[in-house]
Amino acid sequence: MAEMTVSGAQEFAGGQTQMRTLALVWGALLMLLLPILGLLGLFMRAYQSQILLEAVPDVSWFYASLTLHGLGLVGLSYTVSFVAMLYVLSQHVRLNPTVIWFSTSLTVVGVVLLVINFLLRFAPGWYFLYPLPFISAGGWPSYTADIFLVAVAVLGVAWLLWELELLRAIASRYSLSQALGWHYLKGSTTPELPPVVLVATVCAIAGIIALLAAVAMLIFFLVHRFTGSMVDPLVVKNLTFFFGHVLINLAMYHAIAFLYATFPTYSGHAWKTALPMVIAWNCVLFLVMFAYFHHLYMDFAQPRWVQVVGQIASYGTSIPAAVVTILGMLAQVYQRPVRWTLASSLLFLGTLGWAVGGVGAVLDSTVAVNFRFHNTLWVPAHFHTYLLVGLIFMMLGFVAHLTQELSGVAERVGLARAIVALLLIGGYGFVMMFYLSGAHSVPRRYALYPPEVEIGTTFAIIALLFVLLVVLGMLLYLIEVGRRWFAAYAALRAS
Amino acid sequence: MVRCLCCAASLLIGGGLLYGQTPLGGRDPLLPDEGRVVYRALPDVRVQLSDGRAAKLSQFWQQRPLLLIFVFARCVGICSPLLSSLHETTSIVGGSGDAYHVLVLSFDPRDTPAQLEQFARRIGVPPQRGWYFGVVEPHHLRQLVHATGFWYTPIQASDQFDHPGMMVAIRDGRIVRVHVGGTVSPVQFRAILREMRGDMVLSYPLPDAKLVFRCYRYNPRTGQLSWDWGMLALFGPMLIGFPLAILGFQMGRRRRLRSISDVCPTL
Amino acid sequence: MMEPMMVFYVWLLIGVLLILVYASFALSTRGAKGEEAAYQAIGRLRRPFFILMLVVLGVLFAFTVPRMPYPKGQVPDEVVHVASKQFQFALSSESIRTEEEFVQASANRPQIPVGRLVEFRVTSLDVNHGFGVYDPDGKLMGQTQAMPGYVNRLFLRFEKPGSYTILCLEYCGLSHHIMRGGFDVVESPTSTSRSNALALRR
Repeated sequence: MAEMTVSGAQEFAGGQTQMRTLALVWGALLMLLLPILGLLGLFMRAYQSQILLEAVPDVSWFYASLTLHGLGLVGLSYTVSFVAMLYVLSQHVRLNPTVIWFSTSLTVVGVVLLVINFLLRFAPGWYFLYPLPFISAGGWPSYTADIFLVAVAVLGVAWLLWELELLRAIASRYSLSQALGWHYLKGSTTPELPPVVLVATVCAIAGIIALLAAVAMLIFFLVHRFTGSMVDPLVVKNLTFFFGHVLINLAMYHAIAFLYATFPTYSGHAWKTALPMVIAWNCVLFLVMFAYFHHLYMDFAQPRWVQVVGQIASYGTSIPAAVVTILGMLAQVYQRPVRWTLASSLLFLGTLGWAVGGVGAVLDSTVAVNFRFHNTLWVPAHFHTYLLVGLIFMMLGFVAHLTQELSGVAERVGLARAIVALLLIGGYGFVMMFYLSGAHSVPRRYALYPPEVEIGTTFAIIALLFVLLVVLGMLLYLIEVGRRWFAAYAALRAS
Repeated sequence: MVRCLCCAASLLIGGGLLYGQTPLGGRDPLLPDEGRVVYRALPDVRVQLSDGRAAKLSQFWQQRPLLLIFVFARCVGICSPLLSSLHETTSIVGGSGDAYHVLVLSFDPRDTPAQLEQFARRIGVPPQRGWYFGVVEPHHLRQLVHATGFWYTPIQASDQFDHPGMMVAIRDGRIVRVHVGGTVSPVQFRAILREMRGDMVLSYPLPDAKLVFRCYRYNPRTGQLSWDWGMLALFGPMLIGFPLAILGFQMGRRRRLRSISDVCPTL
Repeated sequence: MMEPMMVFYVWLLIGVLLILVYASFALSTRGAKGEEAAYQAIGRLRRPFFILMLVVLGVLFAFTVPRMPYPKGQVPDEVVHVASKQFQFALSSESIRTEEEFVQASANRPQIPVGRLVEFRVTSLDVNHGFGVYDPDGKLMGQTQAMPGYVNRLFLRFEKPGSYTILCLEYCGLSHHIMRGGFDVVESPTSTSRSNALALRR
């Protein structure tokens, strides 16, 4: 591995400032977009509670909200966590900030296009399952499908570019076998591999593959758009779910990379790469390619061996998560004088959300169970657990940590505790209603529930109460971290 | 005769219904629809075979699954390509006489079992294990035709019959598949065989759905299946992504070596 | 196939256990000294935890794979052809491939004799839909995707007479939540074996 020259170090330090600015900007984007997208979610649960029927008689707003809420939060999760990972990775490799800024700008353009589409009530859902965007039965204007394709293309370019930049940056310092830690398999720890580099390498490779799948998917959409031929919907479905599944898993992995690098500052104990971690993440790189089959269990057209592989891969991905990350997290806190702050609490609790959501996911990734649970509210139950009380907790922790580190502002402990309590109780209560609804066979993505599943309405009302706690928690978070953000921004400008 | 030839030609060109010109949801009313007859129990009629024996249909299907084909001995249309194609396919796939029987029945009341067998020999389908040729009484024929959805219309001018090319797969006395067309490829036959054996075939593409970028593409002239762009699209991202990552690290290697030489110019 | 509420209780049990573990570990940080021995003690749990996970997942796999809802080729007693289209299901004893056939069949409400094994042959005439069969108590019995260009075959046996509802389980547009179909399961068989004699009430 090369040692840096003096001028390289200066450039590196300058790069660090750029990274901090980038991270701060993305922190602001999170604090701006998360509440808006979250409020769309609140709107949806309120609609399903039937309390908005008179105020909003047009059901297309529900489905347009569903589309933007899903696309927006998946995108936000992926991008913010990517930047969080880069923030800690930049201590080890030299990233080109220009590429990241460019991708950031393109992402903003893509988001604007999606918001425009929302206002035009484009509502194919956030799976945009082919050929629904084109065949709406008069539900939305046909040109919104074109806007959507442009948005997907813009976002695809943005994210492919920064994934390639990530790969380039790591490759400039490490060989492939070093970056994947293969020397640990031979019993050597030289060169010492920071965990964030290992995870970032896995994410870069998987991310490039996922985005190439998105390219193929986009091409098929364009074939339909410009030739009128119907592409095999099962091929496009496979590509869509492969892309989506890998992307959202990557979002989680990015957050874990940030966790590995950051939590030790609160626990006082290093989190180093070791053999189990190397084996785990190399397995993840392989398994995440095949786990997506669990989205297609009810597509009986898929060969049966593919369904079994999906169940094996889905079960398999839970093992590295539990045995390395969850157990590692618990080791970090066990009988240690952990500095509990807003950031460290959210990071710690985020892994709990990942574990609890993971149990729901493993159960649903069992074919025999999926037969009764597929596309019921159990599905949003498990991924809202992963995402809201899992990944989003960690991202809120990232911004809290970042702003505190850069501003040095003292934390208001009482407020921090109130934030954590509200988000925790509100978040788990909210997802519990999804799990209960799924167990009662309530379908997902229903604006209103028919008499056969009217219990869904009751659960939606209860969920709404818990969402209000989350809203309050978020409001307090914005107050606390918002003031830190401004202080951090001022400090960065001054430096 | 012209009409029969046109019917046969259109079926051949159309690839036996598989990739018809109608988009999703289209249907040619002339062609039997498997959906109307599937799982229907067949009447257990007596068949007069070319070896002189008489046998009931149940004697066939109780031993092993049965493939039933309707032809006639003077056919100059679809009968010969269908029989030839089936002969070639069963030779490739194997199992005739062990895994299934093939029963070729004539729907022309003037045909004898011997004439039917001669017709088969003429078109290059010799007698072989597991293949049987026979005729049935007219009233039994009516029952069979009704049960299977087959139809035929005499064409006086040419002394021919207008009829679809059709094979009926039977398991335990019930229709499990109906294959309509002028040819049958090995891949199609294997799917039919799976049904006849009782292996679960959970779904199958609608034969008249015109879809592009499937996983497999069917060539009606050769009867061959080849990978379509759809299959490539599924594997493509991994096939491109992994080498791209390796290439990225190889290019990075040059940069790493250059950096080392910056620090240690003597290297 | 596992009962949904059972699955919920399994999730709840493990979830509560996880919360308790996290809570106790968080509490352990109070007045803690941070000795390396404590860290190593958790590290030593890795191997037994790994083996435990392998065993639990292995048992779950072995138990559930034979119970996959893809039955092996028994001949059903009845065949019901289903076509899905924005925003209705149509059921028939004959296959539905065209708009006209769909319109005719959409008025059907099949009557299926109780205890019969039914094969649903499900397709779509436009976009992806989800064919979800709900029993008279509102429980999802089973489902399959309804895809354009494909026919998916779902086997279900109905032991309880009553009115069954079909709800769409794949988002398909603005009226996804009101897309439905239905059939009745009746006590006394109205016909012998074949689905052509499946009674269709209009």
